Amino acid sequence: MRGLLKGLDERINESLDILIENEALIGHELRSMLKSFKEEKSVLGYSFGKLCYCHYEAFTDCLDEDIYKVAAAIELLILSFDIIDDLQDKDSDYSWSTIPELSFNVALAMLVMASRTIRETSFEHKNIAVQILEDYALRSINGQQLDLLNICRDDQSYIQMIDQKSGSLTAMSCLIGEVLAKGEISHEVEEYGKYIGIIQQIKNDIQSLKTWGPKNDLLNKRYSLPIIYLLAQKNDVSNAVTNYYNNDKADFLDNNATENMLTNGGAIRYAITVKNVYKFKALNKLEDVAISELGKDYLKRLMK
Amino acid sequence: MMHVIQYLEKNPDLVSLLKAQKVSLIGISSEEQKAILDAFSGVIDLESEAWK
Repeated sequence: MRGLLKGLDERINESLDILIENEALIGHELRSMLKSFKEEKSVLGYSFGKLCYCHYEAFTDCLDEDIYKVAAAIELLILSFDIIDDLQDKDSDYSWSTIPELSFNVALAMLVMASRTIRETSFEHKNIAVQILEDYALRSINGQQLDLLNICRDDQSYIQMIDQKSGSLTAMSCLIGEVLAKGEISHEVEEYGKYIGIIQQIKNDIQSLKTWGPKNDLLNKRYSLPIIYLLAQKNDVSNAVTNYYNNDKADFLDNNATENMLTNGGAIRYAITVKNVYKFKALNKLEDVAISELGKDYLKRLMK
Repeated sequence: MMHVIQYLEKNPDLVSLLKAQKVSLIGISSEEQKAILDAFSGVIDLESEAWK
């Protein structure tokens, strides 16, 4: 499956190149930015497109080559969301942060091209696929809004937020593949598809706390499961972090003591426990779905 | 779940007893208990190679 999926990255990449090259309604300026942003993204691989392919391939009797276009369309939507997210977070890792006002147009073009591409394929159930794309994209945008507002400050509301923001996009990718093959979607695929996004988001949240750099959620006064756990403690470190979060003026944090409390006080372990709960939920749902063992192996690795 | 982790952090001996199945967590499903014990196993794989 690993070799097959590597080949799949290449096929999706080729389809993206063709989509960008053949879009007649954009000019040279926009096209060259689309190409360059796509190139930056290609290094990371196309996990969402692969989820779509994996589910289409699992449920279809006859493989339609247009599935690579659909996988590419999903990746266009994901890239547009990544660009907007980075611009909102003022993340300067990628070239799209250099001229944000132009990058916004690239993201908008990608978003429109995504649904248009699916609509122009030959699949019988393409209209349901477009509806799924729009519904889940809206759910994700709603989650992103809640995330930006930084108002999900307890475990339940935080999990609901990442369910919408991240879970929607992974569920969408799985369901579009399934619906194009079968004409209908299943509750099991929707559930584990969503859980994959939640699991990956919790892992990202833990990673963000590993270094004391500009992306550290705690330094940025953001909320995530380990931070919610830390703030719920009653000790000197949690009091200092609470003061840091509540004060507008510049403040000091003892990095070593805070890191020690995160890693040895249960905060990271708590986040890992919640992630594990979703892993087991996802594995249970996957058991009830008729996907090949190779496909299941791939999905299980995303659930770790 | 948060309170369970807090309690186990303060009472690490209980983790060994749970692993040895000599005690049980009331109100926690067997899967949740496994999720907790896995988190206390010390093996943390945050780099998912598949998510690339």
